[in-house]
Amino acid sequence: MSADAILSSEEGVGALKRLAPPVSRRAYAALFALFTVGLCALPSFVSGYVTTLAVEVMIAGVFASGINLLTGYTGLVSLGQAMFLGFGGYGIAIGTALLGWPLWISAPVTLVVVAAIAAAIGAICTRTRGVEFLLITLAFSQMFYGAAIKLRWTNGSDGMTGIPRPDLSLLGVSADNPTVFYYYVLVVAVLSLLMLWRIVTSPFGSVLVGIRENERRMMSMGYAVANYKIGSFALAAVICAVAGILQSQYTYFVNPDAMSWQMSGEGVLMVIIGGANVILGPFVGAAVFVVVKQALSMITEEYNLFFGIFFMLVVAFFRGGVLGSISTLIGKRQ
Amino acid sequence: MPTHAQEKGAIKIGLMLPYKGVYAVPAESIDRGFQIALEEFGNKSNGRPIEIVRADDELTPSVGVQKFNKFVQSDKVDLVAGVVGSNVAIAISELADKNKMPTVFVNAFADEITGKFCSPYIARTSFSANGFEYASGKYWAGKGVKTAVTMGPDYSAGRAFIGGFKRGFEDNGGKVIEEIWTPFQKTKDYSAALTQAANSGAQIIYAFYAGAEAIQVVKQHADFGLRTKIPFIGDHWVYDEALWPALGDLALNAQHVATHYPSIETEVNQKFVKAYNAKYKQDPDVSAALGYDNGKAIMLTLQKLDGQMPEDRAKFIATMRDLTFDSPRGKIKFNAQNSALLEKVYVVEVVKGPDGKMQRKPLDQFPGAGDLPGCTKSF
Repeated sequence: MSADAILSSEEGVGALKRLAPPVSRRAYAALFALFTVGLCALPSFVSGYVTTLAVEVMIAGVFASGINLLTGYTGLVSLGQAMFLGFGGYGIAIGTALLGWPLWISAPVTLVVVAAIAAAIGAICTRTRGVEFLLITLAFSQMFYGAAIKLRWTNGSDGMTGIPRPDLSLLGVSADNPTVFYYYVLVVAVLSLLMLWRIVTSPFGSVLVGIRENERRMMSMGYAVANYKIGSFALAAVICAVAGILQSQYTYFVNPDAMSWQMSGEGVLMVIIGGANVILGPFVGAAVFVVVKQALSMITEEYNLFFGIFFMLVVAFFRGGVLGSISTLIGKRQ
Repeated sequence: MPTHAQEKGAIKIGLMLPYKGVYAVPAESIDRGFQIALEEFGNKSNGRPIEIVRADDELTPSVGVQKFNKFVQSDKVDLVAGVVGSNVAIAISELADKNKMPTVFVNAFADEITGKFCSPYIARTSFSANGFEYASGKYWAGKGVKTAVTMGPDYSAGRAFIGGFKRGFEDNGGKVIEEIWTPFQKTKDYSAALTQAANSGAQIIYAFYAGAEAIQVVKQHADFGLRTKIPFIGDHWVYDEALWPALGDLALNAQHVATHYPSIETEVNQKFVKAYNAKYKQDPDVSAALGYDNGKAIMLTLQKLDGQMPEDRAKFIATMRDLTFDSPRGKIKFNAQNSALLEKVYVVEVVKGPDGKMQRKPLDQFPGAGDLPGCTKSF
């Protein structure tokens, strides 16, 4: 049975209605367009530092979006996604600094390699579920983190410097300029988001949601659930690696910190704060996360404590995250 | 060389230090020493007041990068000072270079900082790991020590310091039979490493640790009863003044190399110690002296530039490179890679003075060794 067939069947439609966010697709497109226009105009009316913060938010947003595909849509909570963030950064670092390839070769090669590695890791990890899945992804991630710290040819814990930003001299601008880099990140973020949107609205995405809701039922319907899960795992990894590439270009630098489990945890927090299984959720979560943390760190040195309290409040009062609860509200009105 | 339109407002210095965590103690001393230096100049350069903007890099490269961006884009500082961790220094080196931001490191001893990662926008007012620890290796080899096992935190500075010791030790007939690395900032338990060291059969443990980590290692070494079995030898960070209250008698009779201690009898040092004592009611430790040198180098450079940041900001660092000045630890000169050279390395012993307080007794002194070559960027 094809995915379309299940969706057109009565059960399928019923299931989708229950699962789909209660806001229409058109409203989403409008919101997305508004979001993009607003972001395009941003650098012209804020200070350079706010632009830089926005860059951090967008990179974190792409990373959290990768986690969202896996966690929000497929229902697999992973604590190892920072591994792929690190792979992205180390990938182009190794490609450009060690092998001397240009960036436009290093970046796609990195993504292809990450997809292959992620499929292999995913094939092992997705055989488990729930807490076991969380732990095995964490274990893989810690393994690579340990390797990154110990390896001498990647400078161990010092990390690698000299990561190039894209050469935009054809357009007459330099990506070293914060505003130019902002637009570059914006373009990549929007493309990643569109790709993600295309994935989750496709029959493939519907199957992922089906797996999240009732894996056995999807299996009994004849879907190769295992393959779908591996596919979701690999796609999520590629999106996280894109974030890793952007992150390392932003700082011209990558070190094992990027692969720490805390980083994975932060990504999951962003998804929860913003709203899981809403496309823009992770971006809102990333924005709230980065801005609140920044603001708190300016007020107090013990900002982590207050951030913890803030997070508890979000979880207690915004069910489904910030965007999730807003769309629930709109849905109730309609 | 044209300068910015004669600016009259404050000169802003971004001071980046790890105020929390394992290096909080040295960070505080550096900040104090830095302030003493600025006060010597009346907190002004050619009539322009100096404003310090502080940031905590949490000894974490990613946080350091974030704070550096804030310095450049939000605080609009004229130059960046401070930075203790070599890991943070390496992470921001490229940013400093790309942003053309003069950055004057206070510690960041790893040889690579002004070697592999060197930049015309970066200077280091302290010294290189090799310049310092080479003399220590030489001293202990000369004292009849034939074998040593080394211990250090597994990050750039740890490896650089231990590497410097090893070169000095082995060039003079010693042999490092085992190198043990402990995770940096991630452990408080050194029992496995200490046991391994004790079983290695070496005559001494030679270690580099600083701040809270130094206290923990020295205490655990004593707790395991290894003091009679295999001595724990380090440098002036392992047995730092600021740690004496925590270490108590464990610091007594420790022999170690030092670049500075409060009783060095030079006029500049006595003046510094007096000013520090008057303000903070205690003797300065080596970190305070290094903080002082960092502030003084910056102020003297600004003075030479009439209190203005040149249009070509690499010229700030080039001007600093031409400086020679007296510091509490001796004469400061910079080499071609913009790193300060060590004039003298002292070997001292911690003893109880006539007043019952702990103090340092000089045993020997060496000239500092050179930096390791390796800077590939052109100046």
